[in-house]
Amino acid sequence: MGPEILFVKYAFPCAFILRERGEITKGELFKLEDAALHEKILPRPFLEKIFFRAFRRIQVLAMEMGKDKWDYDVIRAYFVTRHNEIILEGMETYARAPDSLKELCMVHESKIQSIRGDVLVVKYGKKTRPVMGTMIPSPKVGEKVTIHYGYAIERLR
Amino acid sequence: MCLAIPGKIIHIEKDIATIDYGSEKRQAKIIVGDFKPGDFVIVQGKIVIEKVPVEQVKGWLDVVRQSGA
Repeated sequence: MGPEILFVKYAFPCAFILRERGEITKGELFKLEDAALHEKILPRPFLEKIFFRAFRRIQVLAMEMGKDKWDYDVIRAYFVTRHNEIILEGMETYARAPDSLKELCMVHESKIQSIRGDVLVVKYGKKTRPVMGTMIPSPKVGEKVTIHYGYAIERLR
Repeated sequence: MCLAIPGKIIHIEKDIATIDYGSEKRQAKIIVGDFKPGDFVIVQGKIVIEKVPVEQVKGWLDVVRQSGA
């Protein structure tokens, strides 16, 4: 999986918020969803324009890591670590965000408890929550996946 | 697309909840959790993923509808 696909998988659940604000069109939202669910590569400038706030922070992280902002490890470190730190510290918009919103915006490592069609019921900490499992090919109970908002994003090994 | 903001459950039949967003109504499936009419919830991909405590609903609307993310 290339960095563009990794990025769009982690980022697209947030795109519903951008749509609600009118920052992106229905067509753009569909394009992001289609790319995330079917592993299609979107042009980097397109992603950088839509998710300019994320890329402002990814640029900083890339400099700290001494790597390019489109390096796979940088994108992954952003979503699995840096993004959560920003939310927990209540920086930028998150200063005003209620706890239930922060919880969904954070990326969690979770364990699959049961599978109901396309939906995975996952557990992290003391919490159990359903997420769409459409981005995880042939999921199995007991496997670990990262989750973001209402989606399972990546299988962990 | 009203999926980014909390909606209010107005009716539940079996495992299907009807959710009111003010401007429109949508249906979503309840997979796990204890939900009842009057609860505010977040829906994504046609499933109810989380309950939003009523005192946090305004905060959601403020954040989602203003700048940031």
